Amino acid sequence: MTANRPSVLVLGAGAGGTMTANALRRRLDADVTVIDKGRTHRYQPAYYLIPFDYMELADQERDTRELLHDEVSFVEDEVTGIDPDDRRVEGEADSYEYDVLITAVGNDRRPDAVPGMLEGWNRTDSVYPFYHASAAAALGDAVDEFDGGRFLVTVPDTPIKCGGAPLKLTMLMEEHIRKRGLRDDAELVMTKPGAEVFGTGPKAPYQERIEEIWDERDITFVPEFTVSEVDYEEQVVRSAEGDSLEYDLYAPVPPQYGHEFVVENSPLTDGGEYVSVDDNTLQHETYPEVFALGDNADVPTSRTASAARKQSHVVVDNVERYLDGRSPAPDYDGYTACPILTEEGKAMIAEFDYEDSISAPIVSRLNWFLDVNVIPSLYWNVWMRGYDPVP
Amino acid sequence: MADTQLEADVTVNAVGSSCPGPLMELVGNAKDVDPGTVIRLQSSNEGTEPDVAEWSEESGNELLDVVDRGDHWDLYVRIDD
Repeated sequence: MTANRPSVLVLGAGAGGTMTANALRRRLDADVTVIDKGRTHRYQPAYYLIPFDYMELADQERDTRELLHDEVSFVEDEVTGIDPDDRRVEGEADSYEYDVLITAVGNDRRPDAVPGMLEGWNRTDSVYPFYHASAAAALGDAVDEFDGGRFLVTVPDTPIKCGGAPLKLTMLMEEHIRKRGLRDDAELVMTKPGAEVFGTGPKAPYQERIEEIWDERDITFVPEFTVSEVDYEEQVVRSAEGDSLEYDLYAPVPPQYGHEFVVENSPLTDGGEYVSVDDNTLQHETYPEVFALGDNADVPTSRTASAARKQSHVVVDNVERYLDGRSPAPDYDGYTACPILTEEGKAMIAEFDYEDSISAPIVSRLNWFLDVNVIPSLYWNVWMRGYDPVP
Repeated sequence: MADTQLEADVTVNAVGSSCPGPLMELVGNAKDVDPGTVIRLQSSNEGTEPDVAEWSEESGNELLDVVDRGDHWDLYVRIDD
């Protein structure tokens, strides 16, 4: 840190951190440093497409150092704690001072938090926690070898990233089985802890359309099912409500929490799992020099990369305002987008904010094309570079 | 065992991945390869070695060696099952 050149520290080199760091470099006269414990950046929306060969994992990975502009410093270190009173971040290798901190560390996927879920993946060939790249890749062989019975997808009772992913996986699997001529021998079941398959309020129009599609295609939604245990030897999933479901192939969404170094070793979550920022300014409620975006921000929207993208604009503006001594702009309205792929060549884009739905609940070929063929290159070549020409 | 004697058929880079990531990546690769394949799992997480040792024993595979590379460990595992 120097007297006239502030240091901005970005924790996490995922979608939110990378976009924000590159955009801040252009906007500010500041030293921008990104810390991440690894240097492989993966396009996570690919994960539910990989099992059906609509995308290849190898094509959707980049080196973090190469995604960041040369003038952005990158440090490979594992953060162990944050002391905002001292404006210092502790890592395994070193400690780091800052004038402005942006936390974009995402969430922690914890298949080990449900008894039997991780063991089922480790010990059998019928459990695939597909939010992990390795499980998504291995699920490809399993869906090809599936010869009938029940394909089960479960959603945990924690907030998750990309709430649409389990729905998409279920629908794409239904199509895959149908095309292999096994539809009459197979049952497709997705469970959630709540009552709604997608959601109410701003999500209601999309849910209505999904319910029609699932009726037409005979996909079963089981509400009020909170996974409590996976008995991988018996191939049964039990729920806290006392129900159980057998499976032949099982793709659970793992429970997701805040990272321990934020929850336990910093005051930033205010007793919760995620960083306590204002819903509209994304500035921390106690520490004005701290901002958060993406999956680790405690804002009541659906966690998606498209939400992180809109949040990134607001964080960049508000960091600049903070350094200029101006008050932050309350510009984040909860925007998020979730392309719901229903079958090959067909998709609906659910787009909504805190208050309202934005896009019409229309399934079209163009939406599939946008999601599978256009958005990945926008993501890598434009958004991750800190540019955003799209409204 | 001298680490120079070990040659891996497949390298899995899980450096920076926290638990249970490295073991998950090893298992994913183990599901994919032929018996006899030696996988080198690279991990910077200190919990990986006990996890891999336990998994190898249970699953009928063998943890051949663990080499400290300074910023990460190389774990050599032969997939037999």
